[in-house]
Amino acid sequence: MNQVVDIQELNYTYPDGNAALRAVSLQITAGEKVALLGPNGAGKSTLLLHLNGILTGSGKINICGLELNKTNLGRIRALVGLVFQNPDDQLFSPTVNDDVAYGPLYMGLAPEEVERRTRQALAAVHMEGFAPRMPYHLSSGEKKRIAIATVLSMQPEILVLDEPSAGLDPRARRELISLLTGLPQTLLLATHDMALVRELAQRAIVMDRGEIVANGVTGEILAKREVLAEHGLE
Amino acid sequence: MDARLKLAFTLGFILTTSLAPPGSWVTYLLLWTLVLSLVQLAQVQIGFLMRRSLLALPFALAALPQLFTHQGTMPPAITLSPVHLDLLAPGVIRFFSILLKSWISVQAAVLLVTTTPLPELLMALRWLHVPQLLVAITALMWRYLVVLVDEAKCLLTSRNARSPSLPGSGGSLFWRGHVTGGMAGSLLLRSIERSERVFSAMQARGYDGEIRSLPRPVLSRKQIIFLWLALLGLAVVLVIGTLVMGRAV
Repeated sequence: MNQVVDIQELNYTYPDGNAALRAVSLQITAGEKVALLGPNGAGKSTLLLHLNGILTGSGKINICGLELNKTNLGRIRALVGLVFQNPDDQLFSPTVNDDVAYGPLYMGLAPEEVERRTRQALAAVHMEGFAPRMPYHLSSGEKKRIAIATVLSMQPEILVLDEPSAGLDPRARRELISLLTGLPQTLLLATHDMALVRELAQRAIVMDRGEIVANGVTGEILAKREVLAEHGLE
Repeated sequence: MDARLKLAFTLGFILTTSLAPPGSWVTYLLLWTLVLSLVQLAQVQIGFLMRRSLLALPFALAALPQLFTHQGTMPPAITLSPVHLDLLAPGVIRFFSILLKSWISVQAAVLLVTTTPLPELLMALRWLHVPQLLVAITALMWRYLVVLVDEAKCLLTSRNARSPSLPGSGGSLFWRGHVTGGMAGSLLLRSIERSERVFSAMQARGYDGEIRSLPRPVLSRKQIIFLWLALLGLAVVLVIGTLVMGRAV
C-alpha cells in the first residue's frame, strides 16, 4: 500500500509545558479520506501543524516517502495543503487572486503557470468570478471555499483541514461536503462534526490528551458510543 | 485609469504644490481648480472631499510659529500685547501659503485613495519601487484592520450586554478605566495570536522570508506619454508660479 503519511512516535510539548502529543503513530494511504476526532485540547490541530513542519516535535514523519526535515521542508509544504480553521487567518492577501496565487508563487513557478493554476483552483471550488474580490467582503462559506482554493493551487497530494465545517450554515456546510467529496486528494480533517465524518471519511481516528485512543473504519468507530462518550464526543 | 498613472501624477502634483513659492496665490488657485476638475470627473462628492481634507489642519499648527518668527524687513503688521508678539506680514503670507498647500495636497491624496482600490494602489507602489516589505506590511495592515475593528466591536457589544443601567450602578471612573484597559489588552493579545496564526498560514504555503508577487502588467507607450505630458503640465504651472507670480517673501 502506498503510504503518503507515515508518523512514528511523535511527541510534542508546548513551551508552557503542556504535552500536546504523546507517542502518536499514524499511517494514511494515498486517496484515503480520514477524520481526526477528539475534544478540544486533544492535540488534533497540533498534529496537523506537524504535517508540513509548522511545528516540529520529536519522532519521525514521512510525507510521500520524504522525511520531514529542513532539507525537504519546501517540497513537503508543496505536497501538504494545510487549511486553517479560521479563513481570516488563511486569507491574508488584499485580493482573492493574490491569495490563491501565493502558494504557486513560492513554489517558484513561472507567472503563466501561476495564473493557470489560480484559475484552475478557483474553478475547482466554483468561485471563478471571485478573483478580484477582497476576502473581507466574502461570506463564511465563500471564504472557506477560497481557503481551500489557496492550497489546491499548489496541487498538493494531501489536503489537511482543521475544523472545515466550523461556523458554516447548513447550506454552506452541504456545499463544502459536496466539494470535499469530489476532490481526488488524500484528505485528513480534524473535526467535531460527526455528520461530516459519517458522510465523508472512510476512516476515523479518535484522539484525546495527545494520544490516539481509537482508529478504524468510520462506521465501526461511530458505533462505539461508550468510547466516543468517554472522550467527549457524541 | 491605471492606478500607477494616478499615483505617479498625484505624487507629482503634491511635489509641485509643495515647491510653489509662498504667496503664489494664482498658482494655488490653478492647482486647486485642477483638483476640483478631477473631483468632478471622478464624480466624488465635494462635501466628502472637504471633510476628509480637514486632515490638513495639523499642518497649520506646525506652521503657526511662522506667524511670529519669520525674519523680514517689513514692519510688524500687528503687535500683540502684553507679550509683545509682532505679527509680521511675511510670516502671515508664509503661514497661509503652507496652510493652503497642505490643504490642496491632502485633497489630491484623498481623491487618489477614494478613486483607487487599495490592491491596485499597492501594485502601483511596487511599480514605483517602494520596498516590497513596506508594501506587504501595508497590505497586511489594511487586510486585518477591519478584522480587528470587528473584534473590538464584539468586545464592546459583550461589555454593553453586561452593563445594565440600574439606579446607583455604573461603577467608578477608575473601575471603568480598568475595564477599558483590560479590553484593550485583550484586543492586543488577540492581535498577537492572530498574527502568529497568519504567519503559520504563510509558512504553510512556502513563505521563506522573501516577499514575492505576481509580475505587473506593462504600461503602454500611450499611457507613459500621457503621464509625462501630465507631469510636464504640472512643471509648467510651477515655473509660471515661480517666475511670474512668485513673491520673494
